[in-house]
Amino acid sequence: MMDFAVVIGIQSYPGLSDLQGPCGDANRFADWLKRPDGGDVPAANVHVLLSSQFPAPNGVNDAHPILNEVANLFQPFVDAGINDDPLGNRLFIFMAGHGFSDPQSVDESALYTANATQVMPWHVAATAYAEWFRRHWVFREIALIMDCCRTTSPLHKIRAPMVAELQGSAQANTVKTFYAYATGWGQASRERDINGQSQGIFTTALLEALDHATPDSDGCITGQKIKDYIHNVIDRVAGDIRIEAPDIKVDSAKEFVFTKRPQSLGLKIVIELDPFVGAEEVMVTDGRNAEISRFVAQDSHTEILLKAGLYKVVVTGNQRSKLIEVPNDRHAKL
Amino acid sequence: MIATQSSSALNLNIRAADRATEIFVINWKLQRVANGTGELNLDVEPGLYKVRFRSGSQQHDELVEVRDGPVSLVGKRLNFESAAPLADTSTSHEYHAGPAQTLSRQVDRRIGHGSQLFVFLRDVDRHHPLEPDVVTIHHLDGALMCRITEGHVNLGDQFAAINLDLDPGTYRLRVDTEPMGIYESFITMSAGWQTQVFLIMDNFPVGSTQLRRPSIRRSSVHMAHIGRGFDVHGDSGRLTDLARLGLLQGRKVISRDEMNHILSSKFENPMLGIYAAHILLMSAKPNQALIDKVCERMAQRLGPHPDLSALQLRHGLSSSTPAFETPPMLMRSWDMVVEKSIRRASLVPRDSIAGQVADNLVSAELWLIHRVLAKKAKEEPEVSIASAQRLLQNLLKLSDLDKRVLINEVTSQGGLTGLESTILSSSMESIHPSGNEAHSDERIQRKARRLFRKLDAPRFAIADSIQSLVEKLNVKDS
Repeated sequence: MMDFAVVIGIQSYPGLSDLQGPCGDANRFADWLKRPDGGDVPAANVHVLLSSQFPAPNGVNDAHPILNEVANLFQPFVDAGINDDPLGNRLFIFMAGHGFSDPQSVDESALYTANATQVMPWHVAATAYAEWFRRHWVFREIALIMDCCRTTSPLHKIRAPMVAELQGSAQANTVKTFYAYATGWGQASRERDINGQSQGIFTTALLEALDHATPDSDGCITGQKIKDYIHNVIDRVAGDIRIEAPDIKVDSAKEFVFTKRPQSLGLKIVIELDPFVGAEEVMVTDGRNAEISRFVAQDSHTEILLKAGLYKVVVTGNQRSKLIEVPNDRHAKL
Repeated sequence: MIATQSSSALNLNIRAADRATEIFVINWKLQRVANGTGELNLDVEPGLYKVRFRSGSQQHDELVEVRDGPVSLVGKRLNFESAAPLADTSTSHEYHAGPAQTLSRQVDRRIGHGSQLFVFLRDVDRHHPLEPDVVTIHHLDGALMCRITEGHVNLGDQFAAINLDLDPGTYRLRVDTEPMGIYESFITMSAGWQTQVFLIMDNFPVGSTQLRRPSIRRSSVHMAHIGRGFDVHGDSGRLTDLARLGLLQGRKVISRDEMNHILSSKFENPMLGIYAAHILLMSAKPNQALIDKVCERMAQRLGPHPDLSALQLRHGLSSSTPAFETPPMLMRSWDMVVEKSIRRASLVPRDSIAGQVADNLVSAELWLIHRVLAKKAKEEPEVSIASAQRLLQNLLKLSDLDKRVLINEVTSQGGLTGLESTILSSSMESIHPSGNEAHSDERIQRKARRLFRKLDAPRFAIADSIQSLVEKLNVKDS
């Protein structure tokens, strides 16, 4: 069984306001999906639809993508569900752009399509699509990732996708899901300039998590690992911008596995001794007080490799010490 | 590798500076192991922990080592954002806090008697000139009462303020955000209490530019006994604002224990009670008895208040349930009213103020915000709910393409109200995507009934909006 992905990025909204980052975010996530050491989804199965693929619109009426164009990407999966023909193993749905939540349902979110206006809030009911695929057991695992606002308006209600509602599959409750929203219900998500490029803060934290979260003992990067990592680093990624906490729903009994990889050696962390008096012994212990490194510093700066977690760095001679969190603290000065 | 093993858990006591600050404890694997509000007391295995404090959108992390004995950690105050110039908030300045304290204790105009309304507008960015004349206060019927500029204006320090003696009741606080429109919220005054509304300037994107206007959405509302004025340094103000932010963000920042503590205290800021009741309602299994107790205490202190009346509606409708004529302050209160009005259309009378504003509410954020549109005098007789459903059927029979053509025409002629837009967009889920297939009357009737039921507005407001919509679109009876 194959894996599939639908990746949508919309940043041109003549009827709302333009954004800067969604197309880049969608491309970066699509790149991760296609990487053998990432999502490992066959490139032909990664369907990317971006507003930047269309000519710049002159107004709402020629803004793209519109609802039908997005719905077309889901149609083969809908057909599979209707024909009771489980199609694939995993489905990734990634959406970045303007979004909103239903005022009456904290669990549903949608992405405005490019032709949306305040009067005509055209949108893709993202959560409803994911849930439809789950109910009809089209995929064994479904990841829904939405880097968009979840603000609410009493005037904008989420309309269910125009798909037939059949009797759900008895297997529906075996489907592993990972639903991640950049922000909580009713809140706005944010983008910022990172390395000279406007990027969604949530997408950036997510991609960092996918590459650097510590795998479990089986080498699995599970949804819970990703969730923990994001919550721990997102403030650092946001920099000076105040953000609301992401809303990530995982089911610990049915873990979604993003990828597998061997335990990494860790991230490079710089230990700086200030003042450096020469040849001092430094000990690093992990969060359970187990010693994991002991060395004699030959320089004021020493690089060591540490996995994500909490550590204590001690200069054994004089008991100078510092608690650090990896990956947020890449430079420990003591 | 040498590991120190310990089977004996040690006590970790964490206290936040504010009782509505959330606390999260994360272990060395970066997994959350506990959370709470205000104070957290737990036994943990020896090791390293990350403690996260969260107030509003502000977070602060501290790493702590639990090794040889119990550990106690006290969090520092977090500078969350507030429109009110409360001490230790990121948006507070002495040149606003001082005047807010002073001016809230002196009366600028006596229009009524028994309660007070204090409105304080400020800008924390000195790069923009303050334009305070866009803020006005109106009677509930919409008649202008006064402008904020009739109080005190200090353009140098970027603030304007007014304190009014008023009769208890509900009033409109209006902001003209030209060119984005006129918006208003509803402020209820209670006998013996001063209601304090703090407005802060914010940037609003309009096309490619940013406009700086007062933000009702970010407003902070407090209450104090008349004569006490605004308390810059008090814990009560911070707790109330953190509860407001918790409610806005859907976070349960008031625990049951905290609520019991609040109930046993003097209740210095009754807005806290209203926020807290709604926060308690966010629980999967709300403690209804506790919420009742809060509402009862609030009613004793405030007297009639639309937000308290709305909270009472959760017990259901009875023959003695009064009509809901005055809009509440909070959107969550309004949602409770609308939900009940589905069962009883007369709960929100058509000609009441609540009924009249229902067609153009613009925000589902914390406050009930109404966009003011010039309304034409109604020429058509009032439509019944059954007739409105028939009109809706006519609308549903149009193809989406026809509707889009009509929308373009209407938009060029002044547009639609919010509720009209919602009805129209809801009706555009085509029954038959091809548009050519004959619509079954029975199916359209069913759809019209379902759509009518699903719309979140008082029933008569929906009926009126359907009537005005089909008039604007010139949809013929069929």
